[in-house]
Amino acid sequence: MAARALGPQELITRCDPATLAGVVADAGPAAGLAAGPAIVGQARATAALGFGVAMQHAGHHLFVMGPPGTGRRTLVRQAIAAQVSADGVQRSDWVYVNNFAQPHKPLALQLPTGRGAQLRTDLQTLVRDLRTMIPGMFESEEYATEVERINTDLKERADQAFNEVAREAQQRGLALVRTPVGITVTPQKDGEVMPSKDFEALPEAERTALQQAMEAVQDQLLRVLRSSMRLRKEHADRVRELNRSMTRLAVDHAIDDLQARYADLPAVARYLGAVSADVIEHAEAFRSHDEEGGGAEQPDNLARYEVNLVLDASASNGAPIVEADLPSHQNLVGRVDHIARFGMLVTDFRLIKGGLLHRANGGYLLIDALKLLVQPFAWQTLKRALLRGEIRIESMAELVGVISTVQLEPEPIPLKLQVVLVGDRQICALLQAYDEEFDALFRVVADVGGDMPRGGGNERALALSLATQMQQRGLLPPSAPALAATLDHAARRAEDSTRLSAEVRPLLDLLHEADHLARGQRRTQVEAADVRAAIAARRERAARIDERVREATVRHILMVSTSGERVGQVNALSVFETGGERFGAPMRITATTRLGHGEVIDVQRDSSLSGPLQAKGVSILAACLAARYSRLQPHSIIGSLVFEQTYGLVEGDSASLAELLALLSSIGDLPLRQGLAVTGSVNQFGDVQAIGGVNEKVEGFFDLCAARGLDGQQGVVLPQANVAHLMLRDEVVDAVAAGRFALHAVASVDDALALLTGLPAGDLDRPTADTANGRIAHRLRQYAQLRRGEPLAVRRRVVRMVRRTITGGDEGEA
Amino acid sequence: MSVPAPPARPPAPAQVLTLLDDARTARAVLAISSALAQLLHRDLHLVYVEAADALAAAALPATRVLGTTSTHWAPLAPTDVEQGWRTEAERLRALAGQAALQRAVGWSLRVVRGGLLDAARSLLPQADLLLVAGSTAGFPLPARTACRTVTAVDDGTPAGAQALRLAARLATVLGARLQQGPGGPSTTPVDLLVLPRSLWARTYAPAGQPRPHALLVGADAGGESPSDDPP
Repeated sequence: MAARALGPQELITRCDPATLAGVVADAGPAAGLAAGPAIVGQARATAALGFGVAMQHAGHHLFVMGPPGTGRRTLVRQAIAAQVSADGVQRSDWVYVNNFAQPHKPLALQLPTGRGAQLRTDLQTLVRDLRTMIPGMFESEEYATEVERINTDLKERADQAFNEVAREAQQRGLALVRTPVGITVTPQKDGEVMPSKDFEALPEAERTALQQAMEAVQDQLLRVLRSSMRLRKEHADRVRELNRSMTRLAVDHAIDDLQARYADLPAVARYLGAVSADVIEHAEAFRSHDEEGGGAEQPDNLARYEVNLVLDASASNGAPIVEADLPSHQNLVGRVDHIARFGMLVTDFRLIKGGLLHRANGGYLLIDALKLLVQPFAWQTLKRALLRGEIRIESMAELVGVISTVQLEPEPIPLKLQVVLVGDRQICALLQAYDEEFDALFRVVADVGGDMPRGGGNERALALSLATQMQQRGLLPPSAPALAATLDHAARRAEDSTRLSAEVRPLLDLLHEADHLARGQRRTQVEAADVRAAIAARRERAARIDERVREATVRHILMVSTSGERVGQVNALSVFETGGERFGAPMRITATTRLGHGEVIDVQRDSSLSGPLQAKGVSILAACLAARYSRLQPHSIIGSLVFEQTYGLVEGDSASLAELLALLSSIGDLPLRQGLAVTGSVNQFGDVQAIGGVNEKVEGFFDLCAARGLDGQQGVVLPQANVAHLMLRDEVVDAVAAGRFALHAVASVDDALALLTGLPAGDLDRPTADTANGRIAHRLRQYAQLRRGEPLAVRRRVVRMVRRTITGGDEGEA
Repeated sequence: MSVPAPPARPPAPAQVLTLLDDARTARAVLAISSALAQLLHRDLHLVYVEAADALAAAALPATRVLGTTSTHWAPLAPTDVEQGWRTEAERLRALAGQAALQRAVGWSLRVVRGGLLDAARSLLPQADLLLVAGSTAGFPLPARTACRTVTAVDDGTPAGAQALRLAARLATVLGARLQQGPGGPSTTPVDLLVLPRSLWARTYAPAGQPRPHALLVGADAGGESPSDDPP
């Protein structure tokens, strides 16, 4: 089979605007925008999502993988909406309340939807009522009388004991005298403290007796004093019990009503019981706020009875679909805030804040996988919550163990939701490969394709979706040719004339820009010319580097020949991306060969400027070379391959056909046409295989040739398998139609060799001197003979030939 | 310090004269006297009496004292008593400043030495309103700071009627319960007795320092009766 010149009709497959008739009329609100725009060509992903959303079991969370802009999130929303409308949803309110027994472990209470807020209001009302009722009880005459009775009893008992000591002292001729530093026992005379001189004048025995009496009274007084401490404690106990009793009267009445209201919720009823006990225990807090009783502001020490509503399910109708914008650790599980008070950070249950998991509990949580993975600890936190089936609020400091002080440990809340991770395939593959728990949690993977078949009604469906979204966004309506041009662009983005890119967002961006241009032209609808102008403008905005490279090439600063012939030199094609656009860039590959032991030196690889795919391509072509020509003799050359004037990494195997042709040219001393550029990879049998970026590569070489002037001999050699991928610019198609440029499809290296050398490739098994393969085989035989030690005359001829090969043949530059 | 001799029949100054000899009663006494001063738009004049018998007791050899916050007997010297008085006077001064500021009344403090009742008797002619602090319990029991019960003693004289009116107004200001007491010393718990000075001098003073605080009203032969209304 020989190289096949492609006709203009093979260079682009256009969408027929006639097939899109009526699309604009069909677009609009009736097209189902309520649940988001229709996502076209994703039947497999839609089915997987429907299955995953319906599987309400632990471990059946979803990973939706696919390129961005393909409507992944819209698909998820639509699947969830369908599921919720079919099965409904049950949600609960969640509140955190004080744990009176262990304040650092707040309690979580679950209530039916709407009753969380009710409980909060009820507790506020209760406290407000108690702030009025309790002080009222303590101001009552009954309470004052009772306290007075206790006090009087205490006083009487204390006085009685003291008076007994005083009487005892008096009987001993002593008196109890109060001084500013305490009480003292002193001798008395005539009802007054005995003067010092009188005391000194007493006989020794009398003084001694008085002192012994004083010591006895002192001991007695000390005993009475100690017993008075018991009296004080008894007094405190009796007053406390009285206070409790009084408070209970007020509290029981109020709490009983509440407990009856929440009798169907045992946990809440238990909590109310604890509130009752605590209020009785801390009645003083209500009494001390008597004067503020009517105020709306809750005093701090009464805040212990507040209710922290962390999830109010009544705020959303149906199942919540929470989309995580910043899925950090704290945003996922919530956090415990602190407030600064007198230089210290303090917290309590009221400062517990719910997170995304709280909000989504009972529903669905959509998270961008990449955003999740880049947040410290967030992925681990999410997995732990899903595996445990509960939301446990922990600070990052606790996780890394840098805090050893007592922190709040809110009671975990049971978690029941479905997590939908959205990410690209690579992330999914990495998680599957490196995270053992991933498969246990995300058992449903929905694969959203990056493209779709062009047939089967997809063109019209995609056009309808685009037109509908344009209308939704207030853009001008598109004409059918404009939609057709957009679909052609979608096929180009898919790099396949038979498929359409499923990345709708870039297409909508393009239509936005076309709308802008159309409005500038005062048009009432977007036309095909606007779409093409928008495409061209985008490319133009990103083309600065492309232009500089081409300019340098035209000026032969970057050396790429576009005419003539040369041995060991061929034009290859590369692709680079800048500003979201891809451009093709021709480059020169050269090869030299010499006597050796069968090695191909890849200068790029030796200088660490090649990637693994490029290295693989060189290894394959080396094997192909040996297999084709040296199966029965030593492979006796050393070949060197260079991508000339490249200063960065070269990656990919799409130049392996060009590299092989350069080597063969060098071996066989065969000049190659420089007006042709070659792209394609080869396998070990010499078959030419498809490569990527074919459109950009063709257009890159075309632009260079056009800049130098098209001479009708120029063109691109590309793999036959890539013909179906061609979606070329109109200029290229027109040049081919006019015979000023050519595209040649090849299936094997022989096709390309014949095309570039102008010689028949020839039969490898029966090589003849008038064929390219014959000349190559002949030269390799000579190398082998030389290596085996053939006669000197022959060797001299071979040396001359090799030297000529190394120094190069005709320059062949135009 | 000795009690100055009263001038001959001076007009009673517009003040509330308050006598006390124990700082533990200061809060309660100041609460009453400052409220009274505010009620009648008068100044508050405090007299702190340093009990002379305490100094005499401390002068005796081997005298020991049981501190109000202690559980053992310690030696007591006159210097300890002097130091204690200074401390009590300072505390009294601070409390008086706070109470007077709160009630927005003028105040002064004088220190005398002797006995509380003697000082009261000697100062009676100088004031038409005299508050004599009651004695505290011998034990360091918590002192009541709020006055909950005011008892007026009406002996049928104009001063008795006046005591009754003043007690009623004071009970309202203090938020206390008002009761009318007997003509003699009472055994019921009372925080403040309001009674004619003549009755006090005749009946209460001879019995010693009473437990409740006593507000003595009514002019003697040379003084004026306190007005029920602000000047």
